[in-house]
Amino acid sequence: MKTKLLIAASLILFVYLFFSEEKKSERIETSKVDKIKNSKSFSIKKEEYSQKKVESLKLSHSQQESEEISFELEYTQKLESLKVLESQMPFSEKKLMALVVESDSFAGKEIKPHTIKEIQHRRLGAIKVMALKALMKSKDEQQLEKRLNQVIAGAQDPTIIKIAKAAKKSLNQGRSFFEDFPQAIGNL
Amino acid sequence: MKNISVLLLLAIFVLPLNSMAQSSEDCVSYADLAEIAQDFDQFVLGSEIQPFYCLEELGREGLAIAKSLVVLKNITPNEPELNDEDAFTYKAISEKNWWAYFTKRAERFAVISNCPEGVAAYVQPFYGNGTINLCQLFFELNVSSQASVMMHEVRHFDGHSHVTCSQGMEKGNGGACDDDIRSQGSYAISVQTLVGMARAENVNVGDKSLLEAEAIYMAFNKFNQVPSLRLNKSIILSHQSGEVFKWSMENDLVESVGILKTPSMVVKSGGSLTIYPLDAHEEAYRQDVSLQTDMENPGLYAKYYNNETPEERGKYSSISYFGAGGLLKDNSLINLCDTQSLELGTTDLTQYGQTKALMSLSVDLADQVRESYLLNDEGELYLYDCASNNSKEVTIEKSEYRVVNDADKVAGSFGLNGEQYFLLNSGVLRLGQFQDKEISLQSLELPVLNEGWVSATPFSTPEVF
Repeated sequence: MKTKLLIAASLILFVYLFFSEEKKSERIETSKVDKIKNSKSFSIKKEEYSQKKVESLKLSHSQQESEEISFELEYTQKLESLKVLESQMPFSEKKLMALVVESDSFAGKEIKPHTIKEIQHRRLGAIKVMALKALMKSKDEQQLEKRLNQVIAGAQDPTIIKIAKAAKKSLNQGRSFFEDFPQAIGNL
Repeated sequence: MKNISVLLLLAIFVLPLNSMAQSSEDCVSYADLAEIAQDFDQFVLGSEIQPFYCLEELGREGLAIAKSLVVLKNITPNEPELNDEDAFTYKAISEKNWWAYFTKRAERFAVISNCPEGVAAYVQPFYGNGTINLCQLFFELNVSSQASVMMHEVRHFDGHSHVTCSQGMEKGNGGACDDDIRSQGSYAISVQTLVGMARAENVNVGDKSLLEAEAIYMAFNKFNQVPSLRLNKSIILSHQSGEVFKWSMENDLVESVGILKTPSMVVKSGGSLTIYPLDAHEEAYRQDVSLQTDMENPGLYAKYYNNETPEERGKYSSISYFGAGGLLKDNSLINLCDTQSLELGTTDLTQYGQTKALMSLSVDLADQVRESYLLNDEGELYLYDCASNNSKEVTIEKSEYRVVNDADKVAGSFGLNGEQYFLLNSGVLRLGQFQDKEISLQSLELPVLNEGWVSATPFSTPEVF
């Protein structure tokens, strides 16, 4: 019984210390508030996050900008290419398939969570999804299944493989994954 | 940052949503801003009312925040969307009230001048209402991305945090995934917001496709448990008491959906229900499947019906929204074939006997393809379809199928999950037994008393599980 009480007391003390430390940090940050601008119809205070943290995160801006420009070029080219290929179906099937299965500039690179890289990765992923959807417009179910099998076997992006597997399951049930899934999300 | 449970989140979407991003010439209307100001006192309209509030009045950050809030506010789409697969009617959409959800949780916005690399926004703490902290990256996103980020962040106020990714290209990344989309955490809300925006009004086809593709990619990338789809097949039964029930095929359970103002026929139309009150003095209307939300547009058939006098309305005997569909009135078929002009056509059915009901028959087990039939009082079935999508002409040919008993008592019929159901005028639901081309109506046991039904309609909805 004494042991249990001791453990409980320790836990309470730990939780108290933990949160009092957190409040302290918040107070320090809030004290850095700097009122910069108040427009006529909107007022907002500009605040700082944490100076120490920022110093450790200083980056080469020119390098970052260069990477962003490079990404935008890749994204725009792929999106434009997708639009053209979609309009040329079924003659463009092989090229569309290549768009779905190919690796992109993020292959093998570390994608840190909650960064611009993560967003860019997702944007390129969406183009692959659109290309896959375009490939699925045929009425020939056998042909559709063959395409999905090719994607499942050859795609470099594991997320695209999962989507292709789900689309194949829907196809085998006589359903359209790309119609059903957004509706299911709406029904969540 | 050892003991700050801050979510370093989250630049989500940078889709080029032209139609949303460029609205109002980079200004926000007085009406929109007034509505926003009701919930956020950081926005002050002042004594001099202006038609638009732009960069000068709001500042860069204020304008960006206001514009993203306008997108969020307008996500709830009441406007109809024409669905090619359901061309004879308008498919209205019911979504959650995102704006009310958002305004109950977000109280104010703060601009943080020196966030860590890549972070667009974050909230702190995870519980309760509060401030959405916005980083410089947030203001570089397009407006739809900003709206998604806002929605993602307020979800954290409900206590949802992230976990380490256990799969995919982000495997091992801490705080970069949620466990399960069904838990409806922040990433799930992001996915839903994307779909909501895709369905909102004034979104062009290209933007809609991009938004949906982004939602699909995110749903399969950001959850450790891969989402699966299933089709929940059910029959919506409307009772003469006014109560509406849902009979689920999966678990053979009947549950109450709600109670209508007056007893009515309830017909599935797209993702919603169109309701035709039995009292011909009342107008038809449309609600979402939970019978909670009225749709602005009841659809072409209901509008046509509502334009009739009560006396004329009393002559309608059968309604179908499947296949070529239509309304049966006085031995005439009224339906939509000309999807170019969206004008309904009327076809006299006298030469096909006394037509009693419109019937849809599923060609496949998935109920994806439904053929439309006219059933006359002698049990003969006539297959009908639209001749083209730019004329009102209907093609009708005699079918080899035949209903061998009680054909003159049938009010409507539909196929679901490999079975054919018949509703009789007496209020009983029967099952069609096929023997070659002959269909005999058999008694059917329901989990509840099988009598007093005014209407029966199949309702299959895809669900994530």
